[in-house]
Amino acid sequence: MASLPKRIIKETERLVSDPVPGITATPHEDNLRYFQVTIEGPAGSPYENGIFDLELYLPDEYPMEAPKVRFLTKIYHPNIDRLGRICLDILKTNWSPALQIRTVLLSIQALLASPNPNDPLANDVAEDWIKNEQGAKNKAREWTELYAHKKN
Amino acid sequence: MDHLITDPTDFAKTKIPALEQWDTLLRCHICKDFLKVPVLTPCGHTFCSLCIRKYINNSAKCPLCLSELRDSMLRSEFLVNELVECYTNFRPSLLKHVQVDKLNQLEPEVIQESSLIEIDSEPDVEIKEQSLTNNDDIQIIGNSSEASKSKMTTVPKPNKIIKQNNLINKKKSKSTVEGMFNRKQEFRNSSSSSFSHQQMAQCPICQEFFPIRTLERSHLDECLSLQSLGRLPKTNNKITISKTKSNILPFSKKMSDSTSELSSSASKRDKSSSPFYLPTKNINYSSNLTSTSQHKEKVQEKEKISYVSRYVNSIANTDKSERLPKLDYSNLSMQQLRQKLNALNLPSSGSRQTLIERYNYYEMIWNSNFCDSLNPVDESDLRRQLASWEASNIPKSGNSNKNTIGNLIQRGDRGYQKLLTNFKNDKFDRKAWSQMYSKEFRKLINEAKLNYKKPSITNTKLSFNPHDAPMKEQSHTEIIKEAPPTHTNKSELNNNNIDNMDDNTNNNIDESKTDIEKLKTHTETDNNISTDEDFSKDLSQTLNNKF
Repeated sequence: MASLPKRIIKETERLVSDPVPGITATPHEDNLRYFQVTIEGPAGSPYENGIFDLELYLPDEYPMEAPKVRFLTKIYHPNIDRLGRICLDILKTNWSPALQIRTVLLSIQALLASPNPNDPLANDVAEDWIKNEQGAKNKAREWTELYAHKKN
Repeated sequence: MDHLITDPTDFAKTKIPALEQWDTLLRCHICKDFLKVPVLTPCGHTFCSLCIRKYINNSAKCPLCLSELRDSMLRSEFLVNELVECYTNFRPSLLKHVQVDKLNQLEPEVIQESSLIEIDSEPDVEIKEQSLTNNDDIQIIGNSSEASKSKMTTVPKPNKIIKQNNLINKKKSKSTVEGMFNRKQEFRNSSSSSFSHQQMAQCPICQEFFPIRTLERSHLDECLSLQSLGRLPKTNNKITISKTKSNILPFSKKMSDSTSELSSSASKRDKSSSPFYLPTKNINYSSNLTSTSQHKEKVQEKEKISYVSRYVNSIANTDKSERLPKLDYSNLSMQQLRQKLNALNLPSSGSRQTLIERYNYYEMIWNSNFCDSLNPVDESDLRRQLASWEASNIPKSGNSNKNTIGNLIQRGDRGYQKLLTNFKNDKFDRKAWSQMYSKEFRKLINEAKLNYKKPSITNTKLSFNPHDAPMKEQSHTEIIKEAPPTHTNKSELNNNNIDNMDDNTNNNIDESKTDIEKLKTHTETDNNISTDEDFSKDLSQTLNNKF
């Protein structure tokens, strides 16, 4: 295995020692570029009280390339498709090496708080969201209850 | 390898928390480390020369403000360069001084003791760092001054003091540091009861003298592991002692008793030259060792001035050596490309892609070295850098590939390599790939069918398991595993072009799952399950019926 860049070690240490509230990220023991992530649904959003599992992978070129992030928990969200892929500019074209794991995860949490149905990834969800926002939010809440419920 | 992780948060709990910001400002936003050969962008941001050049190769914009940026726009920042170097030089002692806050109120004797401990405690975490020799130096003086202390027999009542320090230390330091501290404490207890030279023994590897206990318990292991890493054991103890002194002057004055002893013992060691001895930058100081502390102060003064004078005398190197131009590869034939590389004394073997990558990387380190750096290394050094980069970044034929697909299906044939390189470069040929592995895929599918067990009802996750799939590529193979053959041929395997994997495929997977489920259980539920949300509900129904 290629040696882990200092930057990744640093970020990992910081994530563990000084975690972001509502977000955890633990590196996989076999592959320190692979993180298991949980994000709490932001308060006031339909995802409130849900805990969502994600996976995050730092490619070899990181930080020159964006980390790859994906939801593992099912979620009803116009910018997240059924494979868990996320439509977020900083993960694609607007990636900058000045960003880091921490900021990426915060952005994802923010995306949960403010879905953007006008730039959809999951078209059916987005349509639903535009036509009947309240109904869509209720459905999102249902899904959160069903799939992302807090485990004891 | 490099375990020295200094972080701005080191200052968070010190006397001057504002230093955390100061520390952050002197770091590059790309590598998050201290700026190395800093360059300024037209938009006013500063990065390491190499970091920003690497990034510009990918996309021509500033990482912080996203404004347009080309590498010809970069300008060296000599002042920042000196600021950072000066700062990193005194940072360890600064950190130490702002940390020992509470101890200042104790007796002077205690301060001496505690400062020793402070010094000792830090480098245990950082010991393996090679580039920042300062920290190593501190580690070393910690050890050797301790050794000299055991000879001095002037420590009257160490136990009590140590307890006190221990309390304070516990608050500040991590567990590893504590472990280190305890080790010292043990040693000190024993040494306070009976000091003698008999307790010292020579390490067979690095030829240094250590208390037997330290030697047995920890030092031998450390020394051996360093040796196995191909790094020299800390033989440069003798070289760096004087430098450390100059870094921590007030402290070294207090230690003046022991310094004389130190330097004499160091000079002895100098003569018994170790087999691992390697000349380093610090070698300048080694000759000064036997001289008095006056000389050490001189050294310090010299260092103090050097940053300023270096800054004042720095001249941009742009005219000295030519900047390597970017090449327009589309207009270059393979032969011309080879000629270009040959002209630079670079190897011209390999595929066109390899040659291009090689030139790009060399152009980058060349320009960073000759245009930005104040102390450029010569070309042979650059070629060495290039070689080590190639060794780790350009896959050689056959094995030793980091890519998971490589691990997944161990193959050495050329077609596979070619596909894999294309895979990385976004030109992945899906058809060729699925043809090449159609047998494997079919086998996997069959296996999956046979092994398919009912998924647990509580499984709220999508269809693949994160533990089996640390990388995306694997996740996709997982999907393929579960899909029936008809879908395999169509299904898209391309990671980079992930969006092609449309929802239909996904539905098909879910359907196929239920198909398999039916095969297995032979239940006659004729529900036509099509959507995800119904899937797990219906599944649980089916299972409930069964039991």
